[in-house]
Amino acid sequence: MRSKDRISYFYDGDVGNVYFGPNHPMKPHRLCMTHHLVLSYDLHKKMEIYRPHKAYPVELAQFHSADYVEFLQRINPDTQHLFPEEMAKFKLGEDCPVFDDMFEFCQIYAGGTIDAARRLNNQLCDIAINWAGGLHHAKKCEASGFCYINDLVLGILELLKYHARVLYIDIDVHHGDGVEEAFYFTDRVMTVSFHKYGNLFFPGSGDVKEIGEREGKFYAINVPLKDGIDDISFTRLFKTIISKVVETYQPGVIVLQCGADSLAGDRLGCFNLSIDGHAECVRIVKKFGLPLLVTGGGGYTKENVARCWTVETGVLLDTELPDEIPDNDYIKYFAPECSLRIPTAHIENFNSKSYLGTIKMQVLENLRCIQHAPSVQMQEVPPDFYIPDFDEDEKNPDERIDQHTRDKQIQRDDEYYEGDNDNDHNMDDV
Amino acid sequence: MTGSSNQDCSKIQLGFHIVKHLKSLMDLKLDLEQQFLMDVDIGDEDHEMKFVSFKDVVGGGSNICVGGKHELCVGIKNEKESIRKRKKECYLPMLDWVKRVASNPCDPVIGSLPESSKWKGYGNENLWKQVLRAKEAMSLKVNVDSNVKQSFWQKKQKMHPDMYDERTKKPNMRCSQRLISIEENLSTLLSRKPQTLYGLAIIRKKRIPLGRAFQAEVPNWTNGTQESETRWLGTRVWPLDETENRTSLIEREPIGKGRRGSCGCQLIGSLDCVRFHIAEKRSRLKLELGSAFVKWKFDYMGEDVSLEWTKTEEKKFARVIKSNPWSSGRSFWDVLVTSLKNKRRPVLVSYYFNVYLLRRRAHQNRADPSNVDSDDDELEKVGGEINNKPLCSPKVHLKFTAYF
Repeated sequence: MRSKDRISYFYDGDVGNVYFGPNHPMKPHRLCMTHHLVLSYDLHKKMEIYRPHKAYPVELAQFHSADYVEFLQRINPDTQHLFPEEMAKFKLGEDCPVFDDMFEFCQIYAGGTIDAARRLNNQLCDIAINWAGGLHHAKKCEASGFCYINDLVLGILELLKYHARVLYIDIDVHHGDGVEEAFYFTDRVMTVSFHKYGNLFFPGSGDVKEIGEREGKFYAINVPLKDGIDDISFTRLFKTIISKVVETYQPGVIVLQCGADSLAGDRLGCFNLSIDGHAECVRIVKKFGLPLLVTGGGGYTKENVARCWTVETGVLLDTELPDEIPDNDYIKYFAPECSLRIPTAHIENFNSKSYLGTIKMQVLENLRCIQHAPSVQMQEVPPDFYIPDFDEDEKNPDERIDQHTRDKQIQRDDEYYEGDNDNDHNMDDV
Repeated sequence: MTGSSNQDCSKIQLGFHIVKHLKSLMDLKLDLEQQFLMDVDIGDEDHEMKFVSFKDVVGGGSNICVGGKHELCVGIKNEKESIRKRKKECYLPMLDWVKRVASNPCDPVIGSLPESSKWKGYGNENLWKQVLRAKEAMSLKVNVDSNVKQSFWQKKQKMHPDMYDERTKKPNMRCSQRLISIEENLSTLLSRKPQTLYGLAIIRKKRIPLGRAFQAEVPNWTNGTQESETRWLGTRVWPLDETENRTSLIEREPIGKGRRGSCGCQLIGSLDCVRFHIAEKRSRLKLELGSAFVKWKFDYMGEDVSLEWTKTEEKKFARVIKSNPWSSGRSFWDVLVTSLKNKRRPVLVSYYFNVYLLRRRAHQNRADPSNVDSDDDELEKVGGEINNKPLCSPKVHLKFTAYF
């Protein structure tokens, strides 16, 4: 692991007053609260903060269809009634209302993820954070689930210019369908989503049987869960699966969507994770030491979103934050406890051990079908005759090695864990 | 058919009809997330039941026999009362809602059911959402390894929209006129899409669509790095440019330190103490951040936003919100825009989030600290005047009093 990760954090002051409309659960004001809380803990002193450029329509059209982007750009609340066909075609107007400065908002959050990807590509940082991004439901030609532009797909496309394989991990309570669909038929992106599935829960996709097709077969992983999953069950399953995925797939970079609606007490969610449990997933991913792009996502109880993403910023900065929230303009939102942590709910966990065990076995079985890393052939490094060009142990850990050399390395068994994998002894009883 | 249906009518009706074509007796127990156990007693092969929506329920607990091949089905067996009684009770509001819809679909109190794409945005506090989940749980198989049940439910689902069309065309259907008119009323009230029935979507197994209209264009890996854009990488806002003049601050406190346990104020924890420390922190931040403070719009955050508002304007704001609650069906935003013409919408939004809601939270924290909720804030559930005056007596020394 590198001695010290360089973090680039993206924020634009204009997101704070973006307003989806009356009673809409998505409130970008939560981003303002998050940023404020991050600063009140002085975390800005350990990282670089950037204002993203507003993504140009041509950049958005790298994924989305040109007519969809063009419509998003020109539509506004006063004229939307004049275009009923297009509104219906692009699924605007209900979950995804047209509001003031909507397109600018899309440009900001998409620009953040794209800029983050570029900084990683140019090795200007090790970890890049864009809490405004992570809108994973948007499709190529339509809006969905409060998402208009899929910044994750755009960011991944940028990363694919520099990396053979990109791993996408999604811990939002909703299935990351937009990203999965965009890359369903390719092996250059592996999508892994942990989400609630069943009983009409949005969006309705994400069954364990969805594994990708054609060249992308086995390169989509879905972990469907039931209500009430708690920290222990979730983090255990997460660690087992993600470790195996990284070991098998060997991505060059990881994109992590940290939707906070998987927290206990979320207005739309139904899981029972504490902030520490949620942040443990971030910790696990960071430990792999790969370039990492972290985004936000869902999260409909504003204060908990701010708490969660602040704690996770701390995790990425290797900084433990004290529980007492420092004085700041928004302190009343966190009163009366003014605590950074939240209690979990007393609800039943419907995910039995046997159910989780079944899911785990299915996922691991599918992973075994990936023989060798795709697209980039590994034959030049046959295990039996492997003679390194260099002594791996003598390599300076602080010096970045180029992609080609890194692809040739075979990771040691204990590469991804502290110690001797002793945590895994307990895994099998899940 | 009708004879046995009369017996079934004695069960509590939820208005779900279940299609069955099985020859064997089946007893299905479905667990809903809310632990709502229902026994769907399919009975024997002579019964044929249609799967239609709750629209056919006539309210008031009276029996409904639609006759012919239509059959009531869902019920909660009296024999298993002991368990269900307890669970039933928590579902009485939901049942009442269903009955009300059936008896008067145009009742404005019910409101309208949003389209299926909107459901994500609604939580389980909405009764109609509970109904949908109950229906879903009954109609979809839950266990992954229950193949028999799976085929049954799949068959039933496939027949669903067709069954509906067939039913309305049947000439010899002994259906009361009242039911037909209820249907028509409901159909105007609720939206209908080809694959949904009165907004109740059926989940079919979705295939991920393939094509240029769906997937991203992923180039083949060329084993050499492509040119990644080096121009647009974001503009650095922090750390500040070396050329920028700013007052140097002496750092006494380590990074990430939480709130201090004690301070030098005369009355620790009083409103004045808290206000002072917030202002102190804010000034410190302003000095430290320099140009970043403005770039991040920190000058538009927090209760200081109200400094740009007159007392009259603030009172008007609060009055408009209070007189246009969610239950009235009006949106206070529309009224705010018209009654505070000199304030543009972004200014109103900013005031709402930075001043109004914060003060409301303060009020909640004081009135009912165990029940604070700022995310159904627009439903304006908290009653009573929002008291903007300092609330606590300076004699109170409790730590968090000032936040109440």
